[in-house]
Amino acid sequence: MTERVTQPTLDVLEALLAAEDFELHGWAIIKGTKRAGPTVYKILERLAGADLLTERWEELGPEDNRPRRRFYKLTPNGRAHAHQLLAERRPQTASRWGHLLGGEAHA
Amino acid sequence: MNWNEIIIGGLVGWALGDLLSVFKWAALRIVPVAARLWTINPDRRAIYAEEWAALIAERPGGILKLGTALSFALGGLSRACGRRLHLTLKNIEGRLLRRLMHDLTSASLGSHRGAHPSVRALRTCVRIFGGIGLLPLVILGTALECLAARERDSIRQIVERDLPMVRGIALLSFSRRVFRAAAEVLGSPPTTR
Repeated sequence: MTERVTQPTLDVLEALLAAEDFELHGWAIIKGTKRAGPTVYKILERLAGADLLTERWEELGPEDNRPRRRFYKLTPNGRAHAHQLLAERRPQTASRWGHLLGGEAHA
Repeated sequence: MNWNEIIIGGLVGWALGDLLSVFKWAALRIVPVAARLWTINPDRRAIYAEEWAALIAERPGGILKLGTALSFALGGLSRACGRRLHLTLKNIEGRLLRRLMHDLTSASLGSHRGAHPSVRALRTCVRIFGGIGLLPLVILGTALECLAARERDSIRQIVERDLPMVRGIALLSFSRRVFRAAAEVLGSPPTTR
């Protein structure tokens, strides 16, 4: 990702790294980062555009009568990138995610 | 507490409950509009409309639902304005470049209809940007002209022949830089995502 890395971007990456299987839906990211919805979605778009994220729809049963949520998951490349960024910009928190690099921890 | 107060309290409660339902209803109507404003890609619009509807469904209370929907609508509006502005700037840039190319061609063909091509190009830029940004360029041009006037005829000839072209190219590069900077400040280029 060649674009500038903002604090909200680091928040989003941190939230995704901390998530189970590195995957969260939009509302969980907004809640986790305490950032505004449009801010978070702009970042998610940028990350997906840089192939650091993949997206998928939530699978609902036939009895679920509500709109589907969309899940965002860090790719292996995204995890490495996120870890590197957090290590550079937020060394105090990066140590928490160091052992997760590569995704084996949640697998 | 008398009967009037009880009736007014009941009516206010009923109205508030109704109002909250209206907020929920409005939030779900606003979300597709926000998605339409957010992107020009029809597939992404459909995705965001559904996803944001799910997101709003998770927010408690009508006011919060409406607030969330409005925040997405405002975000979408700012992106739509950014896209529109970017297109407008591109159109202006295109017109300006065509005009400059025309002026440069006129200069190279020796056709001086009215004002000098470089002067006309400068005038176009000044009309669009205002004069402050072009001041260094104007000073440079004037200094070169003064230098040419003082120096020998051969130098003057070279400068007179080449100055419109040099200044035109300088203007071209300058205007492109200005547009790029403006586009960066005012919003990212339109994307299909």
